[in-house]
Amino acid sequence: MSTILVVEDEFIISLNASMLLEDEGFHVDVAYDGAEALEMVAANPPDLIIADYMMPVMDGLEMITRLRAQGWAGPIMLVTSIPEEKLPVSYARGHDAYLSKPYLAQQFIEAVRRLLGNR
Amino acid sequence: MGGRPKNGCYFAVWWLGLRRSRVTQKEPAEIDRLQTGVEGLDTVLNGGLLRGAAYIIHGPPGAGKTILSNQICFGHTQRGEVALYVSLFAESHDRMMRFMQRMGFYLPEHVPERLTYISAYSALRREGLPGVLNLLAAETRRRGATLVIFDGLFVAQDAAISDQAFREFVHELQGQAAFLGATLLLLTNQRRDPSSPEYTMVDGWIELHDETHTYRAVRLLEVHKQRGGSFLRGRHLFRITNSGVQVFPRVEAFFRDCVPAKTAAGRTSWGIEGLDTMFHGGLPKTSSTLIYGPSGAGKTTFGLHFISQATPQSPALFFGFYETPDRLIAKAASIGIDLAKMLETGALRIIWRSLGESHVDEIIHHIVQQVVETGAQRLFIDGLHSLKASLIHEERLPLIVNALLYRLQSLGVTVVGTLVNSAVFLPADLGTAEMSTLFNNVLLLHYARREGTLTRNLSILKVRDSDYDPIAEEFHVCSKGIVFGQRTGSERRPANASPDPAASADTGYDSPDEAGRKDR
Repeated sequence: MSTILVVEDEFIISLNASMLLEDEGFHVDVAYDGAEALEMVAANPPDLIIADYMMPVMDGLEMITRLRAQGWAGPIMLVTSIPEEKLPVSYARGHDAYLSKPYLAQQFIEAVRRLLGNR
Repeated sequence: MGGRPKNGCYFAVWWLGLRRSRVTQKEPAEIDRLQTGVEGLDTVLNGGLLRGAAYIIHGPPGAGKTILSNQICFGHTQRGEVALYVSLFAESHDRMMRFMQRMGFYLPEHVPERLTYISAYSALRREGLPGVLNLLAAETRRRGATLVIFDGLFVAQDAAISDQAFREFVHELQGQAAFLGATLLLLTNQRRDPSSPEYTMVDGWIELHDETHTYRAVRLLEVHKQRGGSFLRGRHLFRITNSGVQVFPRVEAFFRDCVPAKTAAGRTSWGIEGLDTMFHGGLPKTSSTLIYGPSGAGKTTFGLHFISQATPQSPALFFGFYETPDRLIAKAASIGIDLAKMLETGALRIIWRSLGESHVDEIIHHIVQQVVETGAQRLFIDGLHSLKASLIHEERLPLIVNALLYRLQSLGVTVVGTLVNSAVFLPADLGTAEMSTLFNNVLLLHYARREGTLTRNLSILKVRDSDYDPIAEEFHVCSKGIVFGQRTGSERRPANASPDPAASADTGYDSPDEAGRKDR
């Protein structure tokens, strides 16, 4: 069973995402900010990270940048209401996929499946 | 500044000590203001929000708290500062952002670098109110935010284990924001007793009302408190459009300190020779004149003459509710006045405003704004009775008109306004005594019956501090405009007119009413 780490400060979004993914047969862990996510990845590396952008303590872009700097090569999906073309120029585009908020359940699952290669 | 000390009292004492030392470094008169960028709101707040202060913004769902606070955030980021929007709701703020993206004040390039939206709900679930406090302090400090919106104060209140815990939460929240130099806006939709501790503890309290009066809905903003700063008291109209919130300070409050200038020397021509003669030279400059009369008596025509004397150097403003600019131009052309040319040269601006759902404060602010913008020296307001129709509380009308006239006089404007009277002939009672007392000059138009025809007449009832001809003068309107004096015999009654059925009963009185009274 694949493990997915959902990194999201908004409770309802993390709850909905978790329920969807668990229904699809995934094991889901949740972190509420980027710093917590880094600790969780170090302790228990997931098969996929789904990351929000705007979060307290450490935002999603900084988290992704640090993960890649540490050598983490797993797939990362960035999920945010900020348009992808509006992401800061300084960000080194460490994510593998992008999904715009708000999203429909079907869109979300299809994006996850594509990233995990239909595992 | 690390994590929260174990002993909350220690923190409060420590913070109070720091704050006391900060306060003594600042003169009370120099409290910095944070301009909201919301039109009219900074006027109500007498300069803006107080920097480093905590405000409660309270209102029912749909009152406009979210739009207002977002608009204030973007006003803040436009000045290069950083804002933080923290939500305690479980719902996603992405939906809110989607709606805000439709508003004219939304600046996508500022999100999230200068305005960040985060949720504190997870922190509340996991660590309770102390977790929320820690998150707020850390994020405010980390981002260098000088404006913090805390949306969902009532959620914190519901989560508090006691009133005491909630009081401490508000107190510490306020203290943190002040220490970090951030202005804090706490949004809530829960109506609590004004004596509740949170209202006492915060520095300011702004309430948004959404009221329905019979069929009309009106939004009102009221500042209950602003510690250390004055504000305009009472309720002020505001609107929400695609541009955001616009506040219209209540006219009587906004213009209350307006000192009318001394009446300027000199006269302003009516543009009607006979009338200037009756006024012994014309209207006194910067005076206000009310033309009162029945529909069709010629009130607007007098106004057209008045504004026809404007020049690009001394322009005029025509403000009306009934006749569209095209109709006015055509009407003026029929009496030899070229309004189109005046518009072209900048000698005149015509503002036609459909009454619709307009409110009087909005209308008055529009009039004054147009006068200031154009530099108008002459103002004609056609249909002052329309102001009454736009009022929810009619008793405000004399106060509003009085405030407007003082403001216009302070701007050096000579004003003429019209008011409709239902009495066709000479009224026994003006029925609008309160309005006539507000104006410097009052003219009465009425009909009279002479030799089988209706004639139009003008009487000057009052010219303040000046002499005038106290007689009723007959006038008529021709291709040259208003001309005083009786028409000739053939002009009075066309040759092919049917015999006047009342000719044998012609008593020679001005009105049937008057004939009835005399004959009794």
